[in-house]
Amino acid sequence: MLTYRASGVVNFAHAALGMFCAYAYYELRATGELALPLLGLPARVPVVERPTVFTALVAVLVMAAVMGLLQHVLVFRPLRSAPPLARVVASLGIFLYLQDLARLRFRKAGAASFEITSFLPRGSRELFGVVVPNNRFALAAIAITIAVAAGALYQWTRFGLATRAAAESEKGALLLGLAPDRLAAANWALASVLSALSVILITGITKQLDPIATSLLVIPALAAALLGGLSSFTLATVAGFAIGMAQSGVLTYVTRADWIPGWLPRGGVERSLPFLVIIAAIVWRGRTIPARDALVEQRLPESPSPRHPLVAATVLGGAAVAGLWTLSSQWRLAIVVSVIAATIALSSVVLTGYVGQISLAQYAFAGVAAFTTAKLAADADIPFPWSPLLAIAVTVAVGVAVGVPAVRVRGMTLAIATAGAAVAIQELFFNSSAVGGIAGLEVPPPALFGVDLGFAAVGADNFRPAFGTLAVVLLALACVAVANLRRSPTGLRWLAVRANERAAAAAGVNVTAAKLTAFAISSGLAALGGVLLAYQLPTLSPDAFLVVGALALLALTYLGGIASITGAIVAGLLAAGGVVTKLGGGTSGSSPEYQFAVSGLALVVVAIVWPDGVAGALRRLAARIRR
Amino acid sequence: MSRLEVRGLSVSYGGLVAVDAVDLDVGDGAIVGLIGPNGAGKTTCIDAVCGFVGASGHVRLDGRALDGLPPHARARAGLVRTFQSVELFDDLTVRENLLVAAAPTRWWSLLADALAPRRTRVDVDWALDALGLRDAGDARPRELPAGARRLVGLARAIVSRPRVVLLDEPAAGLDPSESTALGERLRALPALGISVLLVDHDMHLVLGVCEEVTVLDFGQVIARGTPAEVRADPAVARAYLGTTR
Repeated sequence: MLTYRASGVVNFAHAALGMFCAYAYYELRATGELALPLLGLPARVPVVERPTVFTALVAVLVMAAVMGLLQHVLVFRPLRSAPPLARVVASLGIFLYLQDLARLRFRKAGAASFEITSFLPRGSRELFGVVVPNNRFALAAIAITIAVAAGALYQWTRFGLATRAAAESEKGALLLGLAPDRLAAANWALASVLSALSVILITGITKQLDPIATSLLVIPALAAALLGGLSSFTLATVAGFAIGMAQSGVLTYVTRADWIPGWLPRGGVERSLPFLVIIAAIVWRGRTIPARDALVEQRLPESPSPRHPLVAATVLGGAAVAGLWTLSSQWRLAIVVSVIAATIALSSVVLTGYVGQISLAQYAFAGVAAFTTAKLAADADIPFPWSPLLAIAVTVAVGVAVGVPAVRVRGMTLAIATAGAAVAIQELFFNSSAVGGIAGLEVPPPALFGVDLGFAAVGADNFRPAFGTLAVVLLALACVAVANLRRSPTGLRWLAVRANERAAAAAGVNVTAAKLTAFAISSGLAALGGVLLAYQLPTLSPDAFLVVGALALLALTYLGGIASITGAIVAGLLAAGGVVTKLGGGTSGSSPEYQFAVSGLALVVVAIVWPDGVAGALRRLAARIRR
Repeated sequence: MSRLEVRGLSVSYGGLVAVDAVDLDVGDGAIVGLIGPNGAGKTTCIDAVCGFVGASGHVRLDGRALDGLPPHARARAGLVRTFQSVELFDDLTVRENLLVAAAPTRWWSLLADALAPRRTRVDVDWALDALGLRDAGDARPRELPAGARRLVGLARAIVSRPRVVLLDEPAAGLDPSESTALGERLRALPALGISVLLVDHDMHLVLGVCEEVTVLDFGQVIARGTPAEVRADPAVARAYLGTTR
């Protein structure tokens, strides 16, 4: 929230920063060495032999402040006037970078190997007949103190007043002689320190520290901040407490209640219910058509009309098919991975690029389709072309169901709401024993008219090109269909909605219908990708469809060019395990273990250099050459 | 019965009554003016008639009640508006801006569009011609001067051949010669079967083009009549002087 105030960024990397600092803190306590978060610097520096809690805390919090400052100076200040989505992409880049770096720097990884100690008071006391450990009281007290202090800081001090003024109007603040830049820097440092402190405190109690799960704490935090309207500390704190209490309350209830069917994962109910409540609250406050004075925050890269989709699809598709039939099996795998990622990325191009609806639920949609296919094929014995088709139909229904409430919110609020929906789908559906659960599922290979279209095979024949060809053909067809939609009145209406919802409504466009159509098409495309993934993966497990994957792919698509089909193809090529990583791994001798950290950095750099994405840069280059 | 009939239209924000029991009539082939000092509720009036804000009262078009319909349904029924700040779709060309408003939607449009995107040839050039924008069809709105952008907004409003168009300050930011030219274009609209409700600050334009003028102040109708009658009305002079003092 502080960073949003400081520079209008909804920072997805916020908890990731706290996560890294928490690791650093425990490491420092254990070894006396401070791990540095920058590639290129020595991995760690010795500080003191046996640091006390106090010295360790101070050292780590100072590091957090510096990290916050660096983020501001190196990343978000250059992006001040970039489209909001570019800033989100940059924060996702930092998210990936920190996460991977935590894995590299703290090799012992896994919470178990750390001695996680809390310095909060031990013991417990009774409250309303429930035993509550003392450390919870301490934590609550600290949280409230921080909220009150922050509230007071922003309400009554000159610094707070100036920050609020700069958040309202940067130009206005500049004219008044304030320095929005220095203010933003101070706010970034403060926010980072708070994030580090709270993650250290929380992990001290829960004893759970994990690069991914801890970083994802950002989603409930953002949800709480959203309820506070991104500006009220009191509301946000109350909301935060309410979420936490609701979760444990629901947990107690769920473990006792008998009416909840056994196939529903109980932990999932606990983790997803508060989300659903928050989403409902956010949506309830939204409006179908923005009011006259509503801030229009989205500005997206321009969306060029595709010129020769049929020719392009034939040439590229032909090249991919030729590659499938001539190259080695590892290359075949890379091509198929890229094709599937491109299909899912295409779903983001439709929804986010054409209609401006930022959705982080695309991987969840893909997962719904994948698990439904697996279930239909393995348990219900529905033969090949029908099981995936049914699964796609089911997913489109789910997509529209998510879309119905989502048409009332827009921009970053929608992004957070869809992230919440993705987590809910993940917790309730993928982990449910009815669809396989954590153990995973195996999908029978597809076959049509006696032709084996399966992917895996024994021996050198593994990763059979027939399946790849099917995937390429489907992607090519999908691209042509999307290109046609973009050039037709339907696409014009989508772009009209993206540009200005009020004006679109005045021109007779049914904005709700336009958005829902896009949700339907987009979830259908994601479902196609999910079905292909179900056949491609040796075993189907929920890990393939985590919200982190959706974040990474959305970021890649944005870099490729979110508003054009080229962007989806570029994203597919860049996807982890795809053609570009295969190229990189094959030619350069650099250690592949830094791959994610480096690609996270690359995301940040590209977001700064080409806020419109690679496709936009290529287009401008082509225009310059023609001239 | 007039073509557009507004009866007892009221809008309130909390305790503030922005529009108070306003009646308006726009007849066949009529150009009707709606004027008033800043903050009189003119734009809110248009918002309410077109369904952009919740309002009490009744709106009828050709005798058909439009109460409770969302904005896009009112537009499809033939009640279309423009915006004070133009609000064009900047990502689309001028011709595409018009196509958004003109292309019909059917339940099978989506499927047909995916298979054959260019099958529909909707004629939008007549609207470009009517406003002298023939050569601007392939330009992006940002590439045009402010005056031309206003005309594109007007073209987008009339391209669906509405029954009534509500124009919110179409002359704002135009120089006197552009404003006079706009007046000529507006006078030609009734011949195309389009009635006009004109809101503007440019008295020269409003009093020169309209047959009937309604004056609003603090959300209430304070005068109504021909331009000459309104000009002579002491209540109108008071309302305007009261705000400029």
